[in-house]
Amino acid sequence: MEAVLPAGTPAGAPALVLVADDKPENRLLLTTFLKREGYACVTAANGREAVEACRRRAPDIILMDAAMPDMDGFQATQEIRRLFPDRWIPIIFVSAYSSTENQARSLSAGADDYISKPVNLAVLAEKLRAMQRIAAMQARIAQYAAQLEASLERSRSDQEFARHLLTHMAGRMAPREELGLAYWAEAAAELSGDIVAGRRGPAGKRYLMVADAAGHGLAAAISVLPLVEAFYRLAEKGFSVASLVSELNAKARGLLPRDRFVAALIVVADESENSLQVWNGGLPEALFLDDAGEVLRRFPSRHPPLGMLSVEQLQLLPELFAWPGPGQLIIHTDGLNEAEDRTGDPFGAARLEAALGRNPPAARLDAVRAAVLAHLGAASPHDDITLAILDCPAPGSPPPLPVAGKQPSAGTPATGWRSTLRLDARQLRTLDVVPLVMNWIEQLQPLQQMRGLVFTVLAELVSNAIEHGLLGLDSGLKHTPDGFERYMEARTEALACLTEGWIEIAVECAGGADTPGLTITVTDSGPGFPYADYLDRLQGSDTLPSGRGIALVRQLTTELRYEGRGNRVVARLSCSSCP
Amino acid sequence: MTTITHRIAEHRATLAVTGRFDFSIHRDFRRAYEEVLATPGVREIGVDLGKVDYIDSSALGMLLLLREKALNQNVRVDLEHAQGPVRQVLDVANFGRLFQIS
Repeated sequence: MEAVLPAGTPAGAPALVLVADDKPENRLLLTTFLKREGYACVTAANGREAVEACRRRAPDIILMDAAMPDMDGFQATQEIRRLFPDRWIPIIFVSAYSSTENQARSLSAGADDYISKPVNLAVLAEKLRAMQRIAAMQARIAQYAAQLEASLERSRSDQEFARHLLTHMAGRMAPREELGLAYWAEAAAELSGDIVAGRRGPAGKRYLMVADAAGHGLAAAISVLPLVEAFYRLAEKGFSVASLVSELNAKARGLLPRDRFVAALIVVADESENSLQVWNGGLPEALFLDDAGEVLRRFPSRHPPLGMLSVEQLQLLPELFAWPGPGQLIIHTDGLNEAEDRTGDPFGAARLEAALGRNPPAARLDAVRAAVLAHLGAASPHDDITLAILDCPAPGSPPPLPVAGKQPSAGTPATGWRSTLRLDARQLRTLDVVPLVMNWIEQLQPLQQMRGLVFTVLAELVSNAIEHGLLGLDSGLKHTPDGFERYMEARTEALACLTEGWIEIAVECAGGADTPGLTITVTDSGPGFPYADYLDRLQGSDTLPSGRGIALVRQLTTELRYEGRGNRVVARLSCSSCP
Repeated sequence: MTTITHRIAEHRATLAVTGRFDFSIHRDFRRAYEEVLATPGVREIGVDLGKVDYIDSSALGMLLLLREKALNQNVRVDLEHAQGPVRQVLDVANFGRLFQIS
């Protein structure tokens, strides 16, 4: 698009007027007048010459006589318009025939104004000035349009880059089938401010986060990026929901401006306990549906979105639910229930529950998507839509064995070292013990393939030491109907009141370089228990519910024994497939 | 067409929003509360949402900014006459932890 110069004023560069008239005396009259007014002139004796003159140099304004031989004013106007499709040159018809029919005809031929002969020069001068003003405005608009186009181009390229980054973040997500997760995501703009992140922790528990950054598009997507990074890092280490919430909230609060926040729902699903821990800060209520379509539990938003409250004000603990039979956890963002059809009617929670309830589990995602898209019709969603469904398989199905951890190889592990860590009551109350102990161990000894194994064994032994040794809880309670939730509540309360006691974790690495072995000893300051034939009884019966965790530990270790008064347990792990 | 009106009576200012409370009014909203906060003697601001028919996350953001600026001057901010879908949005965001809502 050529650069357009606004029509000159007499004070600046003179505007060029093309005068087209077959009579030389008319041409002379007009050009004399125009030059006196400060315009520059060029003349043409007929339509063809007028078009030629325009081809040579585009005038700023044209005074066109209607009746001329060898192409009249009407035809010349049409030709000139075709010559300059992107540029507007004002054309004023000058004609002896002042009928309204003629005026209309000239305007529809492409003229912008009409003046009849004999020409009133004062009126002509005003018409010319008016045309110049409009032409200047047009030129400015064309300039803005060009700037806007350039700006949009830059914005498109920024969005591409952000999408690239987000895809790489999402690349850390575990495959959906492995997670037992299905989801549908529909962005309202180029980029979505909604995100679904998930992976298994070191002991195989499933970590899932559905987040909805305020707003949508690029700004929202950027708000959520750092939180996704932190989520994957903490999930990989096996941190608790409370730790995740604390860290993500701190990150959001530290990074985002005061008026931006990220609504989020975080879930940890433990298939060996059939338990869900759910923390919902700002998302619509999540639902647990059994296979028959009945809602067994709702998880409404009980906390403000991440980034709004400071960590002292924010409640970190998740809600607990032990699923009694197979079912699904359904999570969605507000873009879904607020999706409006053309009349402004939102899809709503009622329609969502109806679509979920009347379909079998495997069909629910597609059914809801179809229903929402049908409801939207031709309208596009005005906020990002996300629907995530997490499978919660029947209790009693064997839990997946610990996942092999991925760690960079650090060469041959050293052997023949021993280290001990003691944690007192205050530390046990405030710290996320197992991930921190794992971190400590991994500083001393890269675990590589053994990581998941060590985490699982350590988690079980430490939780037993704390819950039985120090808090005196009876884990038999865990496996009664809704006993799990009561047990976990009792545990939380008892731990919060713990003032005395300690646990000690000793880790020893021994064995040859080819068969490194790790020995973990956990001692607690509690009374112990009569352990003499405990492990044998465990052996004989896998229905002893309170020992289920220890039974698993037995499977994973080469040796497991109790010592002292039963307040010390020693577990030996080796990894014959270690490099 | 969203309108924002404010009136001040002694220590208490009321900011009333009518219509859609969304990103399009963010400049006007800010101007309104800046004017109110600049008025000496104002100790409380009530944001009247009774005539708001639509509220979104950018409105929540505007309220958070107002709250922060007000806190810096020891001025308290309450949300009034929130009802129906507007109240629902505030509840899901648990805004009751940050504001007195009536």
